Amino acid sequence: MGGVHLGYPKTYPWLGGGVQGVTGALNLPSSHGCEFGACGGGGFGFQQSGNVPNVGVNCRGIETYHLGLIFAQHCDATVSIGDGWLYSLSAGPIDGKLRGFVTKTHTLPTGATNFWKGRDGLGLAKCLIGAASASQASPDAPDYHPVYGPNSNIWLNGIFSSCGVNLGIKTHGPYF
Amino acid sequence: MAHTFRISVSSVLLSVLFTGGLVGCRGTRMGNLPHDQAVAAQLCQAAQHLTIGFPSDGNLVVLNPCNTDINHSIHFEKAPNNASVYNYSAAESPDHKWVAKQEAKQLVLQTAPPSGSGVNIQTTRLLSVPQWSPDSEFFFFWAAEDRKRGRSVAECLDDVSDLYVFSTKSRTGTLVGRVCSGVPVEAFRWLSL
Repeated sequence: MGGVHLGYPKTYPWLGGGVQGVTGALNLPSSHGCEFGACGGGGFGFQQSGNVPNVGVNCRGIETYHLGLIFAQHCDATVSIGDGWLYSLSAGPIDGKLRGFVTKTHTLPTGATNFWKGRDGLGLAKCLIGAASASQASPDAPDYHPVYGPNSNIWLNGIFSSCGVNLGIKTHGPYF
Repeated sequence: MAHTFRISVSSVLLSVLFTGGLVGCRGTRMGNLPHDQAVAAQLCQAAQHLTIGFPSDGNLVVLNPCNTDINHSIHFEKAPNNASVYNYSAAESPDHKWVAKQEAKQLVLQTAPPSGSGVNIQTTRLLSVPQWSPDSEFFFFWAAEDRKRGRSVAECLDDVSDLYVFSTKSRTGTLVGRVCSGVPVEAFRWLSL
């Protein structure tokens, strides 16, 4: 969580350090968080849908200045609580502030590498939507910094962290 | 060990990119789409009652079409008490007089039914279908960043999406704004404030 302890004057729960252990239907392996692709039933090879509770994290290489070649990625999440919708959770800068967004869609993100998928994730999906919605509703937002954070990846890490899942995403993408 | 090395290299390269002279604006150049001040002026005039954006929990992410700085024209503000959101994402305009079809890397605007040659709108990779304004005078769409246009990477070291507006009146369009990855471009609609 390197980007969140750089002397920012305020604490933003969705940037990490939130409540641990809110796992809902997921059985997280330990307080150390989940290993890559192995969070309590998570893994590769299942199709996300709006009809089944699930959680997915999507990362794609950044095309700008070919930064993807040095493994810089942008990450966001797509989750469902089984109500027919996919909820896209993401953050980006507006007016120099990092803003969180929750948007409903029926389409999966394209061109992304799904680096983590968690099945049976109703509790986690609800928690994530709640945390992202709280961020979206907040009248205050931290200053955005594209390199050192907080940025979109740090925000996503913080949202998951507040729901008890350690994604291991750093300022420029996941470690793997 | 390999992981550590990879992370270190990418971290260093990112830092070098950021501090090594890429920060700052380059000269703004024309994109593929014909730039038309008239479209910007029409939009600015209509801004009293019509603009582009989306509600975000009591606030709006919204285009200020009168701001000609495309890198800062989309901003965040408190939502007014009354705002209508229009969702005309079909190819055909609401008045049924126009059709905007997506073909590979271009949009083709034709009258409905087709008569004469249409207008080919060349862009970078299209990221959205056209969204028609309720009066059928404009449509907007998102496309991948036109890299010939300058921007400060200090504001977004990530992929950027460009917002274009096209006028059926003048049959020209212009780039009016852009957002960094993470801002959901699929949420943008025409808004009546």
